[in-house]
Amino acid sequence: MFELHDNKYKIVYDPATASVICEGSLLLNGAPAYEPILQLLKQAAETQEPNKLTVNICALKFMNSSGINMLTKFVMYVSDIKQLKLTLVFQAQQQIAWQDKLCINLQRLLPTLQVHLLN
Amino acid sequence: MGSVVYGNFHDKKQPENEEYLSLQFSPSRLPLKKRWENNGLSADFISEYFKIFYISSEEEPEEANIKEVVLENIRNSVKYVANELLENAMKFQAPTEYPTVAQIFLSLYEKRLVFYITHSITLEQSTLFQQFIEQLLANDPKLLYFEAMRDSAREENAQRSGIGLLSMICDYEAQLGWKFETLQDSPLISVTAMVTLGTGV
Repeated sequence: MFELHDNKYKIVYDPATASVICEGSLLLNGAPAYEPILQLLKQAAETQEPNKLTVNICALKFMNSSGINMLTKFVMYVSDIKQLKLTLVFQAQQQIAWQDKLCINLQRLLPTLQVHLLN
Repeated sequence: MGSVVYGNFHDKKQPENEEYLSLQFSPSRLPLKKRWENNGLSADFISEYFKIFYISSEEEPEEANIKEVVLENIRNSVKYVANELLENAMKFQAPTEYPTVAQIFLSLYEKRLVFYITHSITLEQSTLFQQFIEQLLANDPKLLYFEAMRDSAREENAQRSGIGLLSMICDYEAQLGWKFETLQDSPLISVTAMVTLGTGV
């Protein structure tokens, strides 16, 4: 288990279940502050290749634009920079508009991204 | 320069019969790191305030129950926009030798709300920002948003990716406008962003 957290958020990568679970509110200040989370996601993707990695954002309550930027960097890293052969799945809540939109935007960058919207 | 206006901008009217909320900060008084946490708190406060205002303006209170999901999404939109505007005002501020204030002002209407945020920046920051705005207004924002996301991974040091402003337009259907004004007795430029957000209900 690999975990990053502060008093507002928690990100846990569990290699056994091939999942990264994001919880809380991500309001960090710009790209440098998001770097550890980005590194954790990259590491998870590289470790899980060529299998599947699930990123679950259902319990993520809020994320600022630097957070969106970090996730787009991650998706571009997987699809373009490293061209990892891995099935990337994003799990989000269907009723939360911003999570739905974020997944659609990420899917535009990586058309093979699987989005599982949960009720 | 006098003043220059871009996009959907109207000068703020002091509302007589409308409700409004105004918060003022001195960005230079605290280090950015300490100030940063206040952005989230202020954005939370503004969005909760709007949520209560919105519920109380509903004629049929029983409908409020059905709309819990809708309300939560509206609250999140308000929080997102308020937080982005505050973050930008903190990030792009003039050096501390000219103590300035940043003010966020929110006019509450039944079906829409209007944010104004004013802060001071240097002439150089102003020029770069105006170039960005000109590009934004001359192109399809959805295409710019896609390009900004696609290029984000390769532009490590880009301080203004524009993703925050582009997401407001593309994901939250916000209308944006700006006014740049020269200040008397100061080499700084005052910039006011106006963001109109429909509540979509």
